[in-house]
Amino acid sequence: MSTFPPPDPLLAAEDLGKRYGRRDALNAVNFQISPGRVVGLLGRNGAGKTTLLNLASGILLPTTGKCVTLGVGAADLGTPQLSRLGVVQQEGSCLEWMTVRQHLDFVASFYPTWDAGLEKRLLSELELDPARKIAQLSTGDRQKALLLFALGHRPSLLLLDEPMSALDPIARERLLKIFLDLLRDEGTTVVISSHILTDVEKIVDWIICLDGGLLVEDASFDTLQESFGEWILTSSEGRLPSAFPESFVLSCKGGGSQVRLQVRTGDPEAAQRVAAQYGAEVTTRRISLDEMFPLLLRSRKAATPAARL
Amino acid sequence: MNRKFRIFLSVFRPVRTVCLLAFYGAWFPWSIVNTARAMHFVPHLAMSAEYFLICAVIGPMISGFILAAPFHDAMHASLFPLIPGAARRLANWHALCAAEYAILCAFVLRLLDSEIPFPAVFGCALLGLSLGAANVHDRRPKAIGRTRILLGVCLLAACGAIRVGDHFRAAVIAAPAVFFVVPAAVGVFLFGLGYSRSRARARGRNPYLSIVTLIYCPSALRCRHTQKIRQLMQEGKADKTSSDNYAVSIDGSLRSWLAAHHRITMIGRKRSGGSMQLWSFFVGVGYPLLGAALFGLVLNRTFGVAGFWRQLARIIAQVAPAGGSSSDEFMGEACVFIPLISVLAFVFAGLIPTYPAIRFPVSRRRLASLVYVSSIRQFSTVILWYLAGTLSVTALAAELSGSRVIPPLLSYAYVALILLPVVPLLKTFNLIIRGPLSFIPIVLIAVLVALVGIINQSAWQPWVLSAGGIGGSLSVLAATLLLYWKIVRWRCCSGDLAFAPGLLVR
Repeated sequence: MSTFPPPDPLLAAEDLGKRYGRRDALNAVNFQISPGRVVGLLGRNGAGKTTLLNLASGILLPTTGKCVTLGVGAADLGTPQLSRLGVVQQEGSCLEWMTVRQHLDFVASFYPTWDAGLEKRLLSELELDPARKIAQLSTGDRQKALLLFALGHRPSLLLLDEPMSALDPIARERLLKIFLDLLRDEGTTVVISSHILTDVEKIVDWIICLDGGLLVEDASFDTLQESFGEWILTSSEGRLPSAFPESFVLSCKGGGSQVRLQVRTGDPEAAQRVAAQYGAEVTTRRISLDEMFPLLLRSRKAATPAARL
Repeated sequence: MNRKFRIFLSVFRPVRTVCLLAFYGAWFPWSIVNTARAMHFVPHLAMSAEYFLICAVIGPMISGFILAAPFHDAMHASLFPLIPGAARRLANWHALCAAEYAILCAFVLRLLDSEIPFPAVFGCALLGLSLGAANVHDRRPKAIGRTRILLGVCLLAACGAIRVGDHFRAAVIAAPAVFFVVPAAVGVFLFGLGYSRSRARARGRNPYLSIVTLIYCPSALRCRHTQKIRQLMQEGKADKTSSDNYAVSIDGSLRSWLAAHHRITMIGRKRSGGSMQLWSFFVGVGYPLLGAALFGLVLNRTFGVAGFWRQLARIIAQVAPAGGSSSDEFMGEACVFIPLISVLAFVFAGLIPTYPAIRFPVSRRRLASLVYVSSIRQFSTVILWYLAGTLSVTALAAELSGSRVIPPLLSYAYVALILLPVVPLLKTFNLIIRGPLSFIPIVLIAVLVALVGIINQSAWQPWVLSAGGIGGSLSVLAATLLLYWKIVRWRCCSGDLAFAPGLLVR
């Protein structure tokens, strides 16, 4: 049986760093994103998500290391690569004086693969009036327009920086459906940065998490879902402690007869072992990405020497 | 209509472009005529050399910066560098426009001067037109340094060309191939530089809109302000509180509200408050100094280096005897029109609307006071510093030339006071009318200034300096200020603030 070599990554960072004045926005970040993957880029405000996406799209140039997008350094992105790239910028500016229709025609004229059918569908599903001027659009409608400009040519790599922050729940739901269709039909690779994690977890299969410009997590969502969990320990004797010394326990609430532990461990037997150790019964459940996010940052801090002290 | 051509038109906003052309159409011939008049006073410069310099050097250089504005407006949108091939296509369009313009210049000059070779004029004109293409409009200190160098080189080249105008023309006739190939090659290089990948990227990062766009498109101004805050925050030059009021403590007095408003307008930069004052001061000082530089480069062979400063002072102070040399006359006129242009510039600056602190817990009545007082304070500061600059130069010139007479230049500085009522009127107009009609005030100003300029100075100068003139001007000013206050109060107290034209609520 022959084995195929892994496909070349569509986006890769090698010791990537970006400095604004004296402040490090990104520091020694390394990752690779394979084709077809849907990556959730998570992080708190100022963690470096927008900077990373701007580096990937060639808007910014790295201070150290390199960022390779669609096989070339981001500084060298030319027409062939840009034709395969779709970008939605946070608060991106367009040609404000144009109507949505004019702007669509303008953008479409540069892409040989522009899909007029998809454009029509997006206009209809996102309920965007093509006769309105960009400058007169509300924040949400402006975001929809930016999504249209980024999706119309069916890109291979889609970089989305807070694409849904201003959309209403109905528009978000429709947009997620469009994303899922694109992923199913085209195998588009998506990197999405968003704080609306309930939406993100519906489509992502990989998580990259940044904190203070450092990469703190780069793992598949399935792996994370398997390793993170919540255990509810119940003891009829009521002698459960309020703190647990095990390193994989990230938080502990309660004490006495019942405690809730949030843990990170790859050991499937760990829950039973801990329950047996304390003479308790255990119920486990998976946690959502919303619940997981603070634990991702906490587990990184717990791993640093300063935190151990 | 061809689809591609329709798209091309939409990039350049046909309506705006027509307005732009109407505006510059009025001013451009005026500036060309004055340039011609200025060169007419350059000693020993033949008429044919004047034509050559205007059509092949100075005219294209000025036009190049105007022509580049709509192209650069499009390129400074953050979306632009991400569109594949867009920069290249825009470069092609820009180059095509420039080439057509250069052909027109060469054709016109050919009609005026049959000796001059067509290709050489084309090459020189193309070079002049390409200078504007290379400008990145980056306002960071490092980039400003480069822009200054570029402008300095242009100015020196233009002055040098004027100084040796006859020889320059003769050289062009003698070696037309050289004057076609070399300038055209440099021009193409500058076009390539202006539209290169790195510059396209830099433009996308740098929110810029030409002054004309700012006037016509308030929403674009709002967008630019937001982008500027983000950019400054990224660079560590402004903090998050720049867009809100909590950076300063507000004790309820109008003074503290004004401080908060000022902080928002200046995007949290500590020293920005002084930049407008410095700008207006240097408008007053800078133009006479620029005149001095040109004077030195172009005309000093009349007086020699030793007598240059004394002669310049005499000319500025207008104490040169009547019937003096033609160069005296020219410099005197330059000193008349330059303050007029400066006043015009500050009136335009007055069109940039203020940002009311609408997010503050502020009552509508207090908001009206805030908008009104901040506008008046801004304009008063500009005028006072402008007058300070002009008066400094005039006083120094009078002192150097030993004159004790009030220089007539002062009366031209006083033009600022005559035009002052225009500012509250414009602000009033902007509060009432929105949309495409907002360009009307610009036309009104242009007409007014043209009228002031056209009427012979001897007709209005004595009146301006008389008690009746001063009283009349101040009365008109007071009336317009009162009108402005009434409209501001009406708009703030009874209007829909979210859509108030001229208020630019964020």
